[in-house]
Amino acid sequence: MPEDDREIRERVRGLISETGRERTQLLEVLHKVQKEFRHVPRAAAEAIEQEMLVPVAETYGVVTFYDLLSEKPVGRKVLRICEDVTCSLHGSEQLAAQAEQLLGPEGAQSRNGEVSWTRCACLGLCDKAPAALCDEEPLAPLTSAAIRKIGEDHA
Amino acid sequence: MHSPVLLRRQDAPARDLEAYIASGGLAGLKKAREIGPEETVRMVTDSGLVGRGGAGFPTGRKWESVRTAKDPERYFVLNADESEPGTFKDRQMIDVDPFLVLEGVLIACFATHATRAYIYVRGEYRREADLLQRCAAELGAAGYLDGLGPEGHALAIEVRHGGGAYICGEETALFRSIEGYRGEPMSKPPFPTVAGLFRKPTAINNVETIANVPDIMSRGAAWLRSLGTERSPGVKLYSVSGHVGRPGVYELPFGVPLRELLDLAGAQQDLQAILLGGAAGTFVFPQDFDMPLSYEGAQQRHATLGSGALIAFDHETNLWRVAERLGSFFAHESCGQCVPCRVGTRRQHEMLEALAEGDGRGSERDLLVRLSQVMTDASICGLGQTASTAVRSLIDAETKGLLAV
Ligand SMILES: Cc1cc2nc3c(=O)[nH]c(=O)nc-3n(C[C@H](O)[C@H](O)[C@H](O)COP(=O)(O)O)c2cc1C
Ligand code: SF4
Ligand code: FES
Repeated sequence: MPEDDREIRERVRGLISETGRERTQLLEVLHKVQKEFRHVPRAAAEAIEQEMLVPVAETYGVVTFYDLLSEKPVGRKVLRICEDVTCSLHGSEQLAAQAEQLLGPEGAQSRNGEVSWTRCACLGLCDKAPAALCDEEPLAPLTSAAIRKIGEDHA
Repeated sequence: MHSPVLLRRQDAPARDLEAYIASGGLAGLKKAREIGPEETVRMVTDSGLVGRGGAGFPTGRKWESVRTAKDPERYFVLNADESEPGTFKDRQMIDVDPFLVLEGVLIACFATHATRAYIYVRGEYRREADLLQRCAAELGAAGYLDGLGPEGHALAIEVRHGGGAYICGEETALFRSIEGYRGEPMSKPPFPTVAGLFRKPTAINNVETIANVPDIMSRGAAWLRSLGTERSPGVKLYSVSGHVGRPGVYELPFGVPLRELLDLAGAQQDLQAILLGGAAGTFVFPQDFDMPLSYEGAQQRHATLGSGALIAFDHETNLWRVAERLGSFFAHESCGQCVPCRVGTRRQHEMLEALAEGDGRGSERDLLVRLSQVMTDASICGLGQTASTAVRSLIDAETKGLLAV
């Protein structure tokens, strides 16, 4: 259910007051917004402009710079599959192909917005390659069974 | 057999303050407080400690410029952004001994009269960031931050979360990120010790560098020099992955031959090559596996230890395919601010794709070498300057007939 813009602005004001209104807190605020709304909605950027005096355009400049933030809603669960050197030696490409088959196209939402997946750079889990991050939890080594399970639970 | 120093608590991690103190923790901080900031910096300088984040800059010299800076507002930043492909030693360091890292931070702040400490942890390391946050709070509650801040106040430690951008490991980009901007590097000079975070004098160190500091204080500068080599004192952490039996983090004194590290990690006898130093590192072939792992040893073989990442490849591996992965990484992670890097990393990736597919037109190698020269000479920061280092080393090796596939 899409939230009402007024509600979003209200909620973001709350997040800002518990984090801090100084420009230096922008990334921390955006992390919280992303976590709560699965993206940085326009209304959130507007609340940030009012409260933190950061223009909407600049907020989106920051959002598009960082891989963990997004302009468009991602799934309620996000699977990041490492495609970097070590993981590619250990079959990450096949796992990504499987994710595509079971969870839908990369980066997009699944049919009902429950789960989405993307490829990513080294996660610092190379000793347990092939590695992935499911929301904030390391999933390493990633197996096809784990992807299937995520698909069954959430797609 | 080297008994670990930095990783000495790996079998029994001290994740609460009581356990840390019971196992000898905080002796370094005590010593620093006894001898004062100036002597503390002198000890770090005398120990010969250099940065483990890749650039190898003397830590004591960095601290001395901040300590003696005129501006009373100055910062200490812990760089825990660890995103160099193949590198996971800082994660391990934080996980097995978070208080050792934090003790190092406290000593650094004391020695440089820091106004505030920032700990910048890559966004993907949530658990490690939470752990550091909780441990810092424990130190605060027990009164260990008291008197370390400005004018005798308690020191404030802020944990910040990266946004998933490799470039934010570069120090000036990291500052921009903390300030609330896109993580775009700035031209140096001015250097961070003069104008760093918020344009104020700033000392920034890597996690592993900082983890050395408590022992330098409690055991003395000569102790660090008793380990390693003359020009590379101390120990180094290596992240080993790829075609080895026991991937993981290994600690060794500097100067040990590369072959020994490979044996420890259970590498098979006939590897094709390794990639040493991460994406910005170089390929090293068996003829150089007797290379001593030290800054000077690597330099002699035109290699670099970089972050201490080691990825091993067997004879089945197509190294051009590995290079294509590196090319893809740099093209994605370039911040896009300067042309040689923004365009260069993309062109480089396209050519590497063709070479990996085996449908190169033959002119790619020459073009890659010329492009490499341009990127190295004309890029603003280390990313663009080193984005072609590994590729260059691969072209050299191919010329010498060292590639298996
Ligand atoms: C593209 C790029 C990425 C870097 N990433 C990191 C990193 O993830 N962690 C780190 O400690 N240093 C990184 N550095 C080096 C830092 O800029 C800086 O030299 C270092 O944090 C200083 O600490 P040290 O003297 O203790 O090594 C990077 C440098 C460049 C050019
Ligand atoms: S070299 Fe690359 S990463 Fe560095 S500032 Fe230029 S474009 Fe950005
Ligand atoms: S290469 Fe995949 S986690 Fe490092």
